[in-house]
Amino acid sequence: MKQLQDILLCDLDAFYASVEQRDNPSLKGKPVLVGGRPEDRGVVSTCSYEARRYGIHSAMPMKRALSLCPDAIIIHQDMDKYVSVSKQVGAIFSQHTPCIEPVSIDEAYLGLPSGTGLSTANIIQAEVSRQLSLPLSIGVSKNKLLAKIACELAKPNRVLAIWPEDVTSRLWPLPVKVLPGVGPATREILNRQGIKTVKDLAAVTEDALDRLLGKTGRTLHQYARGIDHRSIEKRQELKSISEETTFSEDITEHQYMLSILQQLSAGVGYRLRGEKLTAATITLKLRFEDFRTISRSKTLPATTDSDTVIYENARELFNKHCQQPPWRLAGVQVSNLEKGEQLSLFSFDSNAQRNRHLLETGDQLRKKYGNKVLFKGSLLTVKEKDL
Amino acid sequence: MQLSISVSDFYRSLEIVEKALPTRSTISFLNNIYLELSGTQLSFYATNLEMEIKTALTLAPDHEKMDSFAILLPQKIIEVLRYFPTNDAFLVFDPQSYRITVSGGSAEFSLFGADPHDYPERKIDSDGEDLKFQIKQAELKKYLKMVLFSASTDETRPAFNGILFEFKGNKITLTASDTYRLAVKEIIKEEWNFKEAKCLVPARSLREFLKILGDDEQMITVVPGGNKISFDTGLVYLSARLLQEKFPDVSSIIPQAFQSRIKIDKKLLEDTISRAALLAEGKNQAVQLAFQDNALIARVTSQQGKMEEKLPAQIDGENLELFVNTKFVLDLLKVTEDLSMSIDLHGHEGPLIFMPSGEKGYLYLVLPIKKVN
Repeated sequence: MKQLQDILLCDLDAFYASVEQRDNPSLKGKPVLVGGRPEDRGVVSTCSYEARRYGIHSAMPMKRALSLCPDAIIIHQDMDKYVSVSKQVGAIFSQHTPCIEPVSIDEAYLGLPSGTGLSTANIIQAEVSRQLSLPLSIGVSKNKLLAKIACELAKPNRVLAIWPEDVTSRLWPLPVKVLPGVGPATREILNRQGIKTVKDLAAVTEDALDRLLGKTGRTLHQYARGIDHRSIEKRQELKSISEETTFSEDITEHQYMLSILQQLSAGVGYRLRGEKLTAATITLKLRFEDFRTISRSKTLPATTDSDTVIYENARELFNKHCQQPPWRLAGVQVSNLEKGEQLSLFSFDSNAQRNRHLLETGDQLRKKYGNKVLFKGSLLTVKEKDL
Repeated sequence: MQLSISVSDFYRSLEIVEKALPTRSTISFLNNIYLELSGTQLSFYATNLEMEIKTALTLAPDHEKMDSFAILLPQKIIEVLRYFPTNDAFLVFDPQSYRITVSGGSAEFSLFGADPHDYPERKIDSDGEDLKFQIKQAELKKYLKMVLFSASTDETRPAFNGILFEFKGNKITLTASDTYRLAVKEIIKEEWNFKEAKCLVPARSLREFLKILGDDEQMITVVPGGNKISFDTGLVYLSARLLQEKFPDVSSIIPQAFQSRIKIDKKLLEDTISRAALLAEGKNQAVQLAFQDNALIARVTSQQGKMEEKLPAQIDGENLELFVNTKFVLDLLKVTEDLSMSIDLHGHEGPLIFMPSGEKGYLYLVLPIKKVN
């Protein structure tokens, strides 16, 4: 079954630059460089097609890019914006198939029922163009390798299919560097053997390639024939988030454990909010001196992403199930994750609003200055190595 | 002591008081039903200390000569009678061993009862005559049903496990909430004249009470007072201990002005939301509702797939999209018989207020789900 499905590689052309040109029409048709500042030794993240004509490519130092094209317009990158646009594109993909493997912010493999790949690719490309005004190139085939190569040939803003039967006519004439895994070093080795095109490569026996390149050689032998068995790996939905710590020495003090649970809860809450999720179930994990381990859970009437609620429930579970010290490990986990938060009659009172504001500010500080920038006073009593 | 009884009558009385039996009690004799004969009155009583139920059977006059007696019946007798082979049975109570023999047709059971003397005092009285009122059984049943589903079953916030009864002048207001939604029903009777008072009645007791209440026109007498509230149908007496928690003032939470008002066919809405609920998942059971251009579009996207359904709706005000728990909406639609429904909206994070068109003085407020993607 898997071999029969159609595979698409969708790649947003010059993604960051295209977004900037879309949002600021005065940039259209001009060489645009998105990336860091030249004075800060910044590099080009993405450049518009207009800039590529000057020989500029991504990862090139800004300074060098500017010397190639002094008129280029430099835009400081706005990752939040690109991430949100990337999600909008992903939403269009997911209307056509649940089988999606995101590769990067601007690239994803899609799996589709056999025979529908090309027509769906045309629809997706038109939808992205109409709804989001962004150029998208799509390679269509039966496997990832050919879809990727088709996509490279399709650019910019086109759909192209290379089917397995097209391998000799479309793939073989291309230089070996089009194959994934053939970087400058491998290409040099192959070229020295007189192997310049994919066709040359296909003529070499598998064993000879193995002697030359090792395991990579065997893979390339397959690639040269347009064969690729890699399947689409859907991104796993997050099922739970947990933090745990094994103590440097077993702990006997109840209050000390509560301080640790509070910190673990804050860590879990921070990650939960980072994923923009809420959780209904809170689990406490405890390991005793004799390595006996228990986990005890509690499911709330509605989901939460608040450090305080997570901690209060972890504390309740601990008080109920802590048994006799000493304890060796403590962990806090949240599961039953949800994408939205059920509002309550009290979500809007000033106390709730204040707590929400406090959490958000704390999260921003942690994001900017690291996990240790903000913590509860009770944590001062806890040894750093116990966290 | 010997009694000749109708199995179905005896069984029905047991089934009524069974609702007050504790689910599991450490006080073992509370797991029994208190049975007492006095004259021709055979009374049944059970309590879980939170609520108590009493009912009685009047026996044929030839039982009059019998001595009064009391015994604790084991719960098992209810099942025994449910599966009993004959319509009439012969009961023999042994006052020394508290053994109960039930015989009829080819079957004979001998069950172990218990000594009634340890049983808590059965004080069937209530003060607070000034809040006493009467209402038709069917009416009370309907109103309780319309608010009960909103009460919380989560025991971490006990105030929300109750239904708030508020008395004032000729009006009683019933309020229930689990903090995510709120149901309010005002009952007005010209003949009433209450002083201002309120009490919080455990929803759990009322849920059991609903199972006993009939759909007939007969009046029921309600006496709230002291630390309990009692309901007396003449055949069944139930009293519940009031919750002492303070129910928060929710009047400020109900917005006065709406942003959009929707009129929609209740049956169409119920069918659509029921179908949406097939794919809704997780704790939130979310459906997206888009109110636009005189239509309501319901959409669900979940790990199992997606659905979309459009139905006609009359929209007065702004177009709006929001997410809401399908279960919360269906809870109301299942208990209302009105043909049309009006919904007031207050922005995508503000409450939805449902008002069945034929039901004056009722509202059901639901908070939406805030989507974070």
